Amino acid sequence: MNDIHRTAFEFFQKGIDEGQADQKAGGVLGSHLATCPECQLDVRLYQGLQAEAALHWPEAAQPARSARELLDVLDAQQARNRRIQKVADPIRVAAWIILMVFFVLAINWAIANLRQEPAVTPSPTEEEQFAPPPVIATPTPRPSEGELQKIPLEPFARGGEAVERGIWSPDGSYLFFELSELPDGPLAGRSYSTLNFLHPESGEICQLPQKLLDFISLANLARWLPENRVLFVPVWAVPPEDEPGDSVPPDEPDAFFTGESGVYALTPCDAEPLDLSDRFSEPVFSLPAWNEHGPLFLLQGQSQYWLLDGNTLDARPIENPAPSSGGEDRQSWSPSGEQLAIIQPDPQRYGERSILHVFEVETGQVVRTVEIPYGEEFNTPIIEWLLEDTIYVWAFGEAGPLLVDFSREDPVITAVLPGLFGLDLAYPDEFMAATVAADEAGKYHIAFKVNTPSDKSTYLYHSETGQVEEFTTNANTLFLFPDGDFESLPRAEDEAGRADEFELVWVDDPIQEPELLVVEGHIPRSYPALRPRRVPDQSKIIFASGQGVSVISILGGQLEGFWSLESEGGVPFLPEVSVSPTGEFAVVSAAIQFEDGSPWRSAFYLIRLEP
Amino acid sequence: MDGIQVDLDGLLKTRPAGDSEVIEAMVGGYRAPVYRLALSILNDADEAEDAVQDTFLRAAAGIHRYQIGTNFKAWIYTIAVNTCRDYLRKRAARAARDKVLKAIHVLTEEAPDPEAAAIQKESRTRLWDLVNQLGEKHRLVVILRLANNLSIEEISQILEIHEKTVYSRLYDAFKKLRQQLIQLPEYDNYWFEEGS
Repeated sequence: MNDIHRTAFEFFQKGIDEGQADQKAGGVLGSHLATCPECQLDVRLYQGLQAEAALHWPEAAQPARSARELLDVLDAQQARNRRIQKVADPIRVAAWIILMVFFVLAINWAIANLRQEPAVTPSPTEEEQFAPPPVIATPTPRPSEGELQKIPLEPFARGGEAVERGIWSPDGSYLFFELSELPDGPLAGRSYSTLNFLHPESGEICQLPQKLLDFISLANLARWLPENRVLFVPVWAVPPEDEPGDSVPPDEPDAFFTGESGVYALTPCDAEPLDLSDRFSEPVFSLPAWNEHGPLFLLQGQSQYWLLDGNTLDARPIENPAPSSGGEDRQSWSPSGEQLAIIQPDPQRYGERSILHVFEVETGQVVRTVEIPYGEEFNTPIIEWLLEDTIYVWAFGEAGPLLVDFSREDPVITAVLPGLFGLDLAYPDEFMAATVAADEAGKYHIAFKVNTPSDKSTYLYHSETGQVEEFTTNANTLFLFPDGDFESLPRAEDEAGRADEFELVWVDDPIQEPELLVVEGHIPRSYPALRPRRVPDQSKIIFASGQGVSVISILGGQLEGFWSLESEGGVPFLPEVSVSPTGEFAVVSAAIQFEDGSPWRSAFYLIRLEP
Repeated sequence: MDGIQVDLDGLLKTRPAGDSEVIEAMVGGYRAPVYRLALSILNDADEAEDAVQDTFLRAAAGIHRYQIGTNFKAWIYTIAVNTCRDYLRKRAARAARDKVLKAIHVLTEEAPDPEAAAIQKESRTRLWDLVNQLGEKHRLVVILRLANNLSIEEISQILEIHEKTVYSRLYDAFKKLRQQLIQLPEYDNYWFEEGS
């Protein structure tokens, strides 16, 4: 919400500056501007300030002093300067001579002192703590190898404009996805969505008979349960009867999830969802977090949070904290699964401060409450556990991201940029991207790609040593971590036609030098950044663009396959790849944009990665 | 304004930087806009007059550092903004000193004339009062953008910050303004009637 609001604000400002706004983004942001109350307030504030400025400081405002008077002052000043210069020049020469003598003496003194052993090792000063990080040399570009032969793909499903990539079952046997449709008849002008299960092995799709009025995002409403069932909270589905003026086809009164308080367990190809609503004593609105080891699912109800056991499907309420009234909370499970953190706005200082609660999952007791000196309107920062006693807060604003260490009785909050990196940057404008990664060995890494006019470097912080490395290559960066995880940071200010260069960095690997891989076949892209995804065997990377999808082996850079998405006659925009947990299949979802101005259409493609 | 810039660049190609014709063209072309800029930042006509004079003194002394073909308007606005910042700092120092003097009863403040205060309050701009409560870096961006109608690119050049930072400061400034605005008791009544 905050990101789109910022983007919409920027879009509005660009529009003012001679229509620089990106037309592609215009549709999405235009509708956001039209519907978001604070955007409307911004626009009216803008107009109000301009109107007041025109009254208060009119264009015709003139200084009392005439141009002639000013020029006379300038002439007098210049004449004075010339007089001073005549006097000052000999003084300046003398001062230079004295300075040079001091300089020579100082050099002699320094040479003499360097020959002596220091009696005491000085303690590191604050400046020394942030000594310039070791700079890693730019590697030579290495193009991906292999014949670039594109295999055309046909979509297995098509839908309306909205698209989402879907969620794989843990065993990779099903993909649960939503397909929007644009109906005729009584619901013309609206959209409805169907819920679908793709069985990739056979290519069959089972569609549930229930529909959702208008497109919703499954991201916080659906998760896979054990035994290949889906936990689904269709809360944002609007019951058609609640919409004045809408009429529902009379033969389909039960064809929609009503969405008022439903919690369901869906089974692939089973038309009868299991209603779990009686496990809760109140309406439940979302499914914001889950712990895959449990599996436990956190659900947000009207007045309480609830924990649902994925095996027994029993639910229990959490007494404290209660969900915030604006639905702005963020949640995150600790690495062990034993603790859960919830951050919510501080009602006393809304928009300025947040409260972080940490509680034990087993007892439901809050064990920590920490005030976070950062807040946002209509939103709270994302939180991410790094270690069992360390949480990363993705704060915006001047402070930038924060690190909360509650290993001591009094939690310590560190501003990451100045505190760990020694950098003075404003988030998110002066660095493009950031990422964190933690491993089971109890160490973590934080990386930033900076984007100031004079600095385009990428910085990597190592928690184990406290050291920061600097990578000066102005390319996309791929950090490959020892546990097989990877994180990517896109290059700033990219262009659709610029080469897709990825600097591969093997973190904590003393032998493997960074490499610069040039990924071929994706230019020009329909979107600036080529986004990589790792496949489960961790030796390959998969890339998607409007040109298609390619798979490249990390070591050796071998091109293992290239699939084209050209069949729909338009340009696939922002394709998303989702690789199955087994690595056998990948599903690509894309919005297809047409040059003739036809409405966008969604398309889903299936790729068999391994025979 | 662009025409003036071209003329000035043309002059600078054929004449030395300190030439009287160059200085006259600079003062003639930018006297009024620099005054308006100073007035919008300082909100005080006398101080703005002085700031304009200081701006042109600095510009005349440093005009040889201007690179022909870049953006003269941005160059002189940068000098003007920095000059105004100096004035603001002096003003803050004066205020701090006055506060101390008042605290030790050395300075006796005259009782304000109620009628003059009412007139002054009436003439004040309501939304810009909120802007004036912002910190300097947010306030400056709003002033340059909305009181001086400068583009994001120009503001970026003048303040010597990245364009993204200009967007961010403007966004943060509007966020703060919104928060202040909705707390005003008269918010529901006067807020943006048509034509206000």
